[in-house]
Amino acid sequence: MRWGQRLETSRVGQVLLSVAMLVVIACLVLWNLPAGRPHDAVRPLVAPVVQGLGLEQDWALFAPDPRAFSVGLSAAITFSDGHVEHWEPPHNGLVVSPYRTYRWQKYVERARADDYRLLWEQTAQWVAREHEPGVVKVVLTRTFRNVLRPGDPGPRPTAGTFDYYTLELP
Amino acid sequence: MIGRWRRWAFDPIDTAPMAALRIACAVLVLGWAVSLLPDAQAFLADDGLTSHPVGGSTGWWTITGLPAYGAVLALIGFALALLVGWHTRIAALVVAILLIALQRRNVYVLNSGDLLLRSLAIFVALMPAGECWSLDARRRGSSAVRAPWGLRLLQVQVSLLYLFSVVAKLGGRSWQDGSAVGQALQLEDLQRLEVPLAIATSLTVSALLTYGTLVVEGFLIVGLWLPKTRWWAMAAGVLIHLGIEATLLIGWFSLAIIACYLAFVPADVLRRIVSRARPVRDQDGPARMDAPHLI
Repeated sequence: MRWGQRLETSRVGQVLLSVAMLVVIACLVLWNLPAGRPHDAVRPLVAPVVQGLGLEQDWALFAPDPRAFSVGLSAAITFSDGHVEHWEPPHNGLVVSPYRTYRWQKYVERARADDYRLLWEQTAQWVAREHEPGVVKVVLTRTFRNVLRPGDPGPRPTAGTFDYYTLELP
Repeated sequence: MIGRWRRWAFDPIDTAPMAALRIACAVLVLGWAVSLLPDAQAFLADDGLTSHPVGGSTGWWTITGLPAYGAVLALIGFALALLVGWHTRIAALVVAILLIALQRRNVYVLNSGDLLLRSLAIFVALMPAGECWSLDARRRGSSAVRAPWGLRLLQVQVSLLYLFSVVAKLGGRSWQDGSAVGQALQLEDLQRLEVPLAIATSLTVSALLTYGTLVVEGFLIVGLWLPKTRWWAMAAGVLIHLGIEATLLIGWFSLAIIACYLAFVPADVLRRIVSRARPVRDQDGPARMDAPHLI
Protein backbone atom coordinates (compact mmCIF):
# COMPACT_ATOMS: atom_id res chain seq x y z
CA MET A 1 0.00 0.00 0.00
CA ARG A 2 1.42 3.38 -1.04
CA TRP A 3 1.73 6.35 1.32
CA GLY A 4 -1.27 8.15 -0.15
CA GLN A 5 -3.42 5.09 0.31
CA ARG A 6 -2.16 4.58 3.85
CA LEU A 7 -3.02 8.20 4.67
CA GLU A 8 -6.54 8.12 3.29
CA THR A 9 -7.41 4.78 4.89
CA SER A 10 -6.12 5.55 8.40
CA ARG A 11 -8.32 7.28 10.97
CA VAL A 12 -5.74 10.00 11.65
CA GLY A 13 -5.18 10.53 7.94
CA GLN A 14 -8.89 10.89 7.30
CA VAL A 15 -9.21 13.46 10.06
CA LEU A 16 -6.28 15.47 8.68
CA LEU A 17 -7.55 15.28 5.11
CA SER A 18 -11.07 16.22 6.23
CA VAL A 19 -9.78 19.32 8.02
CA ALA A 20 -7.73 20.27 4.95
CA MET A 21 -10.74 19.75 2.65
CA LEU A 22 -13.02 21.85 4.85
CA VAL A 23 -10.44 24.63 5.09
CA VAL A 24 -9.99 24.70 1.31
CA ILE A 25 -13.74 24.67 0.62
CA ALA A 26 -14.41 27.38 3.22
CA CYS A 27 -11.58 29.53 1.86
CA LEU A 28 -12.85 29.16 -1.71
CA VAL A 29 -16.37 30.17 -0.64
CA LEU A 30 -15.09 33.22 1.25
CA TRP A 31 -12.66 34.20 -1.54
CA ASN A 32 -15.52 34.16 -4.04
CA LEU A 33 -17.89 36.35 -2.01
CA PRO A 34 -19.25 39.18 -4.16
CA ALA A 35 -17.63 42.60 -3.81
CA GLY A 36 -18.64 44.36 -0.62
CA ARG A 37 -17.71 44.69 3.03
CA PRO A 38 -17.72 40.96 3.89
CA HIS A 39 -15.58 40.31 0.81
CA ASP A 40 -13.09 43.02 1.76
CA ALA A 41 -12.94 41.78 5.34
CA VAL A 42 -12.30 38.10 4.60
CA ARG A 43 -10.04 38.31 1.54
CA PRO A 44 -6.87 39.03 3.53
CA LEU A 45 -7.71 36.18 5.91
CA VAL A 46 -8.15 33.53 3.25
CA ALA A 47 -5.53 34.85 0.80
CA PRO A 48 -2.63 32.87 2.31
CA VAL A 49 -4.47 29.58 1.73
CA VAL A 50 -6.05 30.38 -1.64
CA GLN A 51 -3.02 32.09 -3.18
CA GLY A 52 -0.59 29.74 -1.47
CA LEU A 53 -2.30 26.82 -3.20
CA GLY A 54 -2.58 28.70 -6.50
CA LEU A 55 -6.37 28.59 -6.39
CA GLU A 56 -7.16 32.30 -6.81
CA GLN A 57 -10.20 32.59 -9.05
CA ASP A 58 -12.88 34.90 -10.35
CA TRP A 59 -16.08 33.45 -11.75
CA ALA A 60 -17.84 36.76 -12.43
CA LEU A 61 -17.98 35.88 -16.11
CA PHE A 62 -19.45 38.79 -18.11
CA ALA A 63 -20.73 39.99 -14.75
CA PRO A 64 -22.11 42.05 -13.19
CA ASP A 65 -22.55 43.36 -16.76
CA PRO A 66 -20.71 42.66 -20.02
CA ARG A 67 -18.58 45.52 -21.29
CA ALA A 68 -20.68 48.09 -23.15
CA PHE A 69 -18.04 48.84 -25.79
CA SER A 70 -15.59 47.01 -28.03
CA VAL A 71 -11.93 47.81 -27.55
CA GLY A 72 -8.82 47.82 -29.70
CA LEU A 73 -5.20 48.87 -29.58
CA SER A 74 -2.68 49.63 -32.29
CA ALA A 75 0.69 51.31 -32.56
CA ALA A 76 2.27 53.64 -35.10
CA ILE A 77 6.02 53.22 -35.24
CA THR A 78 8.08 56.04 -36.72
CA PHE A 79 11.59 55.30 -37.95
CA SER A 80 14.58 57.62 -38.19
CA ASP A 81 14.17 57.86 -41.98
CA GLY A 82 10.63 59.14 -41.48
CA HIS A 83 8.65 56.14 -42.60
CA VAL A 84 5.85 54.85 -40.40
CA GLU A 85 4.73 51.27 -39.79
CA HIS A 86 1.60 50.11 -38.02
CA TRP A 87 1.33 47.24 -35.58
CA GLU A 88 -1.72 45.48 -34.18
CA PRO A 89 -1.74 42.58 -31.75
CA PRO A 90 -2.90 39.23 -33.16
CA HIS A 91 -6.67 39.20 -32.79
CA ASN A 92 -9.83 37.09 -33.17
CA GLY A 93 -9.60 34.06 -35.51
CA LEU A 94 -11.96 31.17 -36.07
CA VAL A 95 -10.58 27.68 -35.54
CA VAL A 96 -7.17 27.34 -33.88
CA SER A 97 -5.92 30.90 -33.42
CA PRO A 98 -8.57 31.89 -30.81
CA TYR A 99 -6.74 29.64 -28.33
CA ARG A 100 -3.80 32.00 -28.74
CA THR A 101 -5.34 35.38 -29.51
CA TYR A 102 -7.51 35.48 -26.38
CA ARG A 103 -4.33 36.31 -24.42
CA TRP A 104 -3.67 39.32 -26.63
CA GLN A 105 -7.33 40.32 -26.29
CA LYS A 106 -6.97 40.24 -22.51
CA TYR A 107 -3.73 42.20 -22.69
CA VAL A 108 -5.32 44.83 -24.95
CA GLU A 109 -8.30 45.12 -22.60
CA ARG A 110 -5.87 46.12 -19.87
CA ALA A 111 -3.06 47.90 -21.72
CA ARG A 112 -5.50 50.41 -23.24
CA ALA A 113 -7.21 51.24 -19.93
CA ASP A 114 -6.48 54.21 -17.67
CA ASP A 115 -6.38 51.85 -14.68
CA TYR A 116 -3.33 50.12 -16.16
CA ARG A 117 -1.12 53.12 -16.97
CA LEU A 118 1.89 51.13 -15.83
CA LEU A 119 1.50 48.98 -18.96
CA TRP A 120 1.53 51.88 -21.42
CA GLU A 121 5.25 52.57 -21.46
CA GLN A 122 6.14 48.88 -21.22
CA THR A 123 3.94 48.12 -24.21
CA ALA A 124 5.41 50.96 -26.27
CA GLN A 125 8.97 49.92 -25.32
CA TRP A 126 8.27 46.34 -26.36
CA VAL A 127 6.77 47.43 -29.69
CA ALA A 128 9.87 49.56 -30.29
CA ARG A 129 12.19 46.65 -29.50
CA GLU A 130 10.24 44.38 -31.83
CA HIS A 131 10.72 46.86 -34.70
CA GLU A 132 14.38 47.74 -34.13
CA PRO A 133 16.56 49.18 -35.56
CA GLY A 134 15.88 52.84 -36.18
CA VAL A 135 12.69 53.38 -34.18
CA VAL A 136 12.38 56.97 -32.93
CA LYS A 137 8.75 57.14 -31.86
CA VAL A 138 5.91 54.82 -30.90
CA VAL A 139 2.36 56.13 -30.60
CA LEU A 140 -0.20 53.88 -28.97
CA THR A 141 -3.76 54.29 -30.19
CA ARG A 142 -6.88 52.93 -28.57
CA THR A 143 -10.19 52.40 -30.27
CA PHE A 144 -13.62 51.81 -28.89
CA ARG A 145 -17.11 51.37 -30.23
CA ASN A 146 -20.24 51.31 -28.07
CA VAL A 147 -22.54 48.33 -28.45
CA LEU A 148 -26.23 48.76 -29.18
CA ARG A 149 -28.60 47.99 -26.38
CA PRO A 150 -30.71 45.00 -27.50
CA GLY A 151 -34.18 46.25 -28.34
CA ASP A 152 -33.04 49.80 -29.06
CA PRO A 153 -33.24 50.61 -32.75
CA GLY A 154 -30.50 52.62 -34.34
CA PRO A 155 -27.46 52.45 -36.57
CA ARG A 156 -24.28 50.88 -35.28
CA PRO A 157 -22.27 53.56 -33.45
CA THR A 158 -19.09 54.66 -35.17
CA ALA A 159 -15.75 53.71 -33.66
CA GLY A 160 -13.70 56.28 -31.76
CA THR A 161 -9.91 56.39 -32.06
CA PHE A 162 -7.50 58.20 -29.74
CA ASP A 163 -3.74 58.40 -29.45
CA TYR A 164 -3.13 57.85 -25.75
CA TYR A 165 0.57 57.36 -25.25
CA THR A 166 3.69 58.50 -27.09
CA LEU A 167 7.15 57.13 -26.52
CA GLU A 168 10.01 59.18 -27.95
CA LEU A 169 13.31 57.38 -28.30
CA PRO A 170 16.72 59.09 -28.45
CA MET B 1 -23.24 13.57 9.78
CA ILE B 2 -19.60 12.55 10.33
CA GLY B 3 -20.37 9.11 8.95
CA ARG B 4 -21.94 10.58 5.82
CA TRP B 5 -18.96 12.89 5.30
CA ARG B 6 -16.60 9.96 5.72
CA ARG B 7 -18.47 7.86 3.20
CA TRP B 8 -18.61 10.79 0.75
CA ALA B 9 -14.95 11.70 1.02
CA PHE B 10 -13.22 8.42 1.80
CA ASP B 11 -15.30 5.38 0.79
CA PRO B 12 -13.29 3.95 -2.10
CA ILE B 13 -14.71 4.36 -5.59
CA ASP B 14 -13.61 3.24 -9.03
CA THR B 15 -10.63 5.36 -10.15
CA ALA B 16 -11.79 5.62 -13.79
CA PRO B 17 -13.21 9.18 -13.48
CA MET B 18 -9.95 10.37 -11.93
CA ALA B 19 -7.96 8.79 -14.76
CA ALA B 20 -10.29 10.37 -17.31
CA LEU B 21 -9.77 13.75 -15.66
CA ARG B 22 -6.01 13.20 -15.75
CA ILE B 23 -6.08 12.52 -19.49
CA ALA B 24 -8.41 15.45 -20.23
CA CYS B 25 -6.34 17.79 -18.08
CA ALA B 26 -3.11 16.70 -19.79
CA VAL B 27 -4.58 17.21 -23.26
CA LEU B 28 -5.78 20.70 -22.33
CA VAL B 29 -2.47 21.65 -20.72
CA LEU B 30 -0.64 20.46 -23.84
CA GLY B 31 -2.88 22.63 -26.00
CA TRP B 32 -2.52 25.56 -23.61
CA ALA B 33 1.28 25.31 -23.62
CA VAL B 34 1.61 24.86 -27.38
CA SER B 35 -0.68 27.86 -27.95
CA LEU B 36 1.59 29.91 -25.69
CA LEU B 37 4.80 29.10 -27.60
CA PRO B 38 4.44 31.77 -30.34
CA ASP B 39 4.09 34.45 -27.64
CA ALA B 40 6.37 33.04 -24.95
CA GLN B 41 8.93 35.80 -25.46
CA ALA B 42 6.31 38.58 -25.45
CA PHE B 43 4.43 37.35 -22.38
CA LEU B 44 7.05 35.57 -20.29
CA ALA B 45 10.53 36.93 -21.00
CA ASP B 46 12.10 39.71 -18.94
CA ASP B 47 12.45 41.77 -22.14
CA GLY B 48 8.82 41.05 -23.04
CA LEU B 49 5.71 43.12 -22.43
CA THR B 50 6.14 42.99 -18.66
CA SER B 51 9.58 42.95 -17.14
CA HIS B 52 8.71 41.06 -13.96
CA PRO B 53 5.85 39.11 -12.35
CA VAL B 54 3.19 41.23 -10.63
CA GLY B 55 2.02 39.58 -7.46
CA GLY B 56 -1.09 39.23 -5.38
CA SER B 57 -1.15 39.60 -1.61
CA THR B 58 -0.18 37.23 1.22
CA GLY B 59 0.57 33.70 0.18
CA TRP B 60 1.22 34.57 -3.46
CA TRP B 61 4.35 33.00 -4.85
CA THR B 62 5.98 32.41 -8.18
CA ILE B 63 9.22 31.15 -9.65
CA THR B 64 11.43 33.92 -10.97
CA GLY B 65 14.10 33.53 -13.60
CA LEU B 66 12.26 30.85 -15.55
CA PRO B 67 13.50 30.78 -19.14
CA ALA B 68 10.41 31.56 -21.23
CA TYR B 69 10.66 28.85 -23.86
CA GLY B 70 12.34 26.36 -21.52
CA ALA B 71 9.52 26.56 -18.99
CA VAL B 72 6.84 26.11 -21.64
CA LEU B 73 8.70 23.16 -23.16
CA ALA B 74 9.12 21.64 -19.69
CA LEU B 75 5.37 22.01 -19.16
CA ILE B 76 4.77 20.21 -22.45
CA GLY B 77 7.10 17.39 -21.37
CA PHE B 78 5.44 16.89 -17.99
CA ALA B 79 1.97 17.16 -19.54
CA LEU B 80 2.93 14.31 -21.88
CA ALA B 81 4.03 12.26 -18.86
CA LEU B 82 0.69 13.06 -17.21
CA LEU B 83 -1.18 12.07 -20.34
CA VAL B 84 0.31 8.59 -20.45
CA GLY B 85 0.40 8.25 -16.66
CA TRP B 86 4.15 7.92 -16.26
CA HIS B 87 5.19 8.81 -12.70
CA THR B 88 1.74 10.32 -12.57
CA ARG B 89 1.79 12.00 -9.16
CA ILE B 90 5.09 13.77 -9.78
CA ALA B 91 4.07 14.74 -13.31
CA ALA B 92 0.75 16.13 -12.04
CA LEU B 93 2.44 18.13 -9.29
CA VAL B 94 5.03 19.62 -11.65
CA VAL B 95 2.33 20.46 -14.22
CA ALA B 96 0.33 22.28 -11.52
CA ILE B 97 3.38 24.18 -10.24
CA LEU B 98 4.55 25.17 -13.73
CA LEU B 99 1.04 26.30 -14.66
CA ILE B 100 0.89 28.49 -11.56
CA ALA B 101 4.36 29.94 -12.19
CA LEU B 102 3.78 30.59 -15.90
CA GLN B 103 0.36 32.13 -15.35
CA ARG B 104 1.62 34.33 -12.54
CA ARG B 105 4.50 35.53 -14.72
CA ASN B 106 2.06 37.66 -16.67
CA VAL B 107 -1.36 38.04 -15.06
CA TYR B 108 -2.45 40.60 -17.66
CA VAL B 109 -3.05 37.92 -20.29
CA LEU B 110 -5.14 35.59 -18.13
CA ASN B 111 -8.85 34.93 -18.28
CA SER B 112 -11.10 32.66 -16.23
CA GLY B 113 -10.31 29.70 -18.48
CA ASP B 114 -6.65 29.85 -17.47
CA LEU B 115 -7.60 29.91 -13.80
CA LEU B 116 -10.01 27.01 -14.25
CA LEU B 117 -7.39 24.93 -16.06
CA ARG B 118 -5.01 25.65 -13.21
CA SER B 119 -7.59 24.56 -10.61
CA LEU B 120 -8.25 21.38 -12.58
CA ALA B 121 -4.51 20.60 -12.64
CA ILE B 122 -4.16 21.25 -8.91
CA PHE B 123 -7.07 18.96 -8.01
CA VAL B 124 -5.88 16.26 -10.43
CA ALA B 125 -2.53 16.36 -8.61
CA LEU B 126 -4.41 15.48 -5.41
CA MET B 127 -6.15 12.47 -6.98
CA PRO B 128 -4.84 8.95 -7.48
CA ALA B 129 -5.14 9.65 -11.19
CA GLY B 130 -2.58 7.13 -12.34
CA GLU B 131 -4.32 4.03 -11.00
CA CYS B 132 -6.05 3.34 -14.27
CA TRP B 133 -5.33 3.77 -18.01
CA SER B 134 -1.71 4.64 -17.29
CA LEU B 135 1.83 3.35 -17.68
CA ASP B 136 2.11 3.39 -13.89
CA ALA B 137 -0.80 0.97 -13.62
CA ARG B 138 0.83 -1.38 -16.12
CA ARG B 139 4.21 -1.10 -14.44
CA ARG B 140 3.31 -1.60 -10.81
CA GLY B 141 -0.29 -2.78 -10.80
CA SER B 142 -3.27 -0.67 -9.89
CA SER B 143 -5.83 -0.17 -7.20
CA ALA B 144 -9.18 -0.32 -8.94
CA VAL B 145 -10.79 1.64 -6.11
CA ARG B 146 -9.45 4.56 -4.06
CA ALA B 147 -10.74 7.31 -1.76
CA PRO B 148 -12.23 10.14 -3.85
CA TRP B 149 -11.47 13.16 -1.63
CA GLY B 150 -9.48 14.93 -4.38
CA LEU B 151 -12.29 14.30 -6.85
CA ARG B 152 -14.80 15.69 -4.33
CA LEU B 153 -12.83 18.92 -4.10
CA LEU B 154 -13.01 19.33 -7.86
CA GLN B 155 -16.75 18.61 -7.83
CA VAL B 156 -17.26 21.25 -5.15
CA GLN B 157 -15.12 23.67 -7.18
CA VAL B 158 -17.38 23.20 -10.22
CA SER B 159 -20.50 23.90 -8.18
CA LEU B 160 -18.91 26.97 -6.59
CA LEU B 161 -17.96 28.24 -10.03
CA TYR B 162 -21.57 28.16 -11.18
CA LEU B 163 -22.91 29.44 -7.85
CA PHE B 164 -20.72 32.53 -7.82
CA SER B 165 -21.13 33.08 -11.54
CA VAL B 166 -24.92 33.26 -11.06
CA VAL B 167 -24.61 35.43 -7.94
CA ALA B 168 -22.37 37.91 -9.80
CA LYS B 169 -24.70 37.99 -12.80
CA LEU B 170 -27.82 38.57 -10.73
CA GLY B 171 -26.25 41.79 -9.47
CA GLY B 172 -26.01 43.20 -13.00
CA ARG B 173 -28.74 45.24 -14.64
CA SER B 174 -28.21 43.69 -18.07
CA TRP B 175 -28.67 40.18 -16.68
CA GLN B 176 -31.89 41.32 -15.04
CA ASP B 177 -33.36 43.04 -18.10
CA GLY B 178 -32.26 40.36 -20.56
CA SER B 179 -29.79 42.40 -22.60
CA ALA B 180 -26.52 40.84 -21.34
CA VAL B 181 -25.91 38.18 -23.98
CA GLY B 182 -26.93 40.47 -26.85
CA GLN B 183 -24.47 43.03 -25.54
CA ALA B 184 -21.65 40.48 -25.18
CA LEU B 185 -22.21 39.14 -28.70
CA GLN B 186 -21.55 42.61 -30.15
CA LEU B 187 -18.09 42.96 -28.59
CA GLU B 188 -15.90 42.94 -31.68
CA ASP B 189 -12.68 42.20 -29.82
CA LEU B 190 -14.32 39.10 -28.35
CA GLN B 191 -15.91 37.75 -31.51
CA ARG B 192 -15.01 34.37 -32.86
CA LEU B 193 -17.96 33.62 -35.13
CA GLU B 194 -19.65 36.93 -35.86
CA VAL B 195 -23.32 36.94 -34.94
CA PRO B 196 -25.39 39.14 -37.30
CA LEU B 197 -26.21 42.47 -35.70
CA ALA B 198 -29.93 41.92 -36.24
CA ILE B 199 -29.78 38.82 -34.04
CA ALA B 200 -27.42 40.25 -31.41
CA THR B 201 -29.59 43.34 -30.98
CA SER B 202 -32.90 41.47 -30.91
CA LEU B 203 -34.27 41.81 -27.40
CA THR B 204 -36.25 38.58 -27.75
CA VAL B 205 -33.18 36.55 -28.74
CA SER B 206 -31.01 38.28 -26.14
CA ALA B 207 -33.53 37.77 -23.33
CA LEU B 208 -33.96 34.12 -24.24
CA LEU B 209 -30.19 33.53 -24.18
CA THR B 210 -29.60 35.70 -21.09
CA TYR B 211 -32.28 34.08 -18.93
CA GLY B 212 -31.46 30.68 -20.43
CA THR B 213 -27.85 31.09 -19.30
CA LEU B 214 -28.93 31.99 -15.78
CA VAL B 215 -31.34 29.04 -15.58
CA VAL B 216 -28.78 26.54 -16.90
CA GLU B 217 -25.98 27.83 -14.65
CA GLY B 218 -28.33 27.75 -11.67
CA PHE B 219 -29.40 24.21 -12.55
CA LEU B 220 -25.78 23.08 -12.87
CA ILE B 221 -24.99 24.06 -9.25
CA VAL B 222 -26.98 21.07 -7.98
CA GLY B 223 -28.05 19.25 -11.13
CA LEU B 224 -24.64 17.66 -11.68
CA TRP B 225 -24.77 15.99 -8.27
CA LEU B 226 -28.12 14.25 -8.59
CA PRO B 227 -28.23 10.97 -10.50
CA LYS B 228 -31.67 11.77 -11.91
CA THR B 229 -30.67 15.14 -13.34
CA ARG B 230 -26.97 14.62 -13.98
CA TRP B 231 -27.20 13.85 -17.70
CA TRP B 232 -29.67 16.66 -18.34
CA ALA B 233 -27.42 19.06 -16.48
CA MET B 234 -24.35 17.94 -18.42
CA ALA B 235 -26.17 18.16 -21.75
CA ALA B 236 -27.41 21.66 -20.97
CA GLY B 237 -23.97 22.70 -19.73
CA VAL B 238 -22.16 21.30 -22.76
CA LEU B 239 -24.66 22.96 -25.09
CA ILE B 240 -24.33 26.37 -23.49
CA HIS B 241 -20.53 26.21 -23.29
CA LEU B 242 -20.18 25.07 -26.89
CA GLY B 243 -22.45 27.96 -27.89
CA ILE B 244 -20.20 30.38 -26.03
CA GLU B 245 -17.12 28.66 -27.47
CA ALA B 246 -18.40 29.09 -31.03
CA THR B 247 -19.19 32.77 -30.71
CA LEU B 248 -16.84 34.33 -28.18
CA LEU B 249 -13.10 34.49 -27.71
CA ILE B 250 -12.78 32.93 -24.28
CA GLY B 251 -9.70 30.77 -24.69
CA TRP B 252 -9.71 27.51 -22.81
CA PHE B 253 -12.70 28.11 -20.54
CA SER B 254 -15.35 26.04 -22.33
CA LEU B 255 -13.08 23.07 -22.92
CA ALA B 256 -11.81 23.17 -19.33
CA ILE B 257 -15.27 23.28 -17.77
CA ILE B 258 -16.55 20.50 -20.02
CA ALA B 259 -13.50 18.45 -18.99
CA CYS B 260 -14.43 19.07 -15.35
CA TYR B 261 -17.83 17.43 -15.98
CA LEU B 262 -15.91 14.13 -16.16
CA ALA B 263 -15.78 14.34 -12.36
CA PHE B 264 -19.52 13.64 -12.38
CA VAL B 265 -19.60 10.85 -14.97
CA PRO B 266 -20.14 7.41 -13.37
CA ALA B 267 -17.14 5.11 -13.65
CA ASP B 268 -19.05 2.29 -15.35
CA VAL B 269 -20.04 4.65 -18.17
CA LEU B 270 -16.43 5.72 -18.69
CA ARG B 271 -15.23 2.10 -18.70
CA ARG B 272 -17.93 1.15 -21.22
CA ILE B 273 -16.84 4.01 -23.49
CA VAL B 274 -13.18 3.04 -23.22
CA SER B 275 -13.83 -0.66 -23.80
CA ARG B 276 -15.86 0.18 -26.91
CA ALA B 277 -13.09 2.41 -28.19
CA ARG B 278 -10.44 -0.19 -27.40
CA PRO B 279 -11.17 -3.63 -28.90
CA VAL B 280 -8.52 -5.46 -26.88
CA ARG B 281 -9.26 -6.25 -23.26
CA ASP B 282 -8.75 -3.36 -20.85
CA GLN B 283 -5.50 -4.47 -19.30
CA ASP B 284 -6.04 -2.45 -16.16
CA GLY B 285 -9.00 -4.68 -15.49
CA PRO B 286 -12.52 -3.68 -14.66
CA ALA B 287 -13.37 -2.10 -11.37
CA ARG B 288 -14.46 -4.34 -8.55
CA MET B 289 -18.13 -5.06 -9.13
CA ASP B 290 -19.10 -4.13 -5.60
CA ALA B 291 -17.24 -0.82 -5.77
CA PRO B 292 -19.53 1.98 -4.68
CA HIS B 293 -20.61 4.19 -7.55
CA LEU B 294 -19.59 7.77 -7.90
CA ILE B 295 -21.64 10.10 -5.73
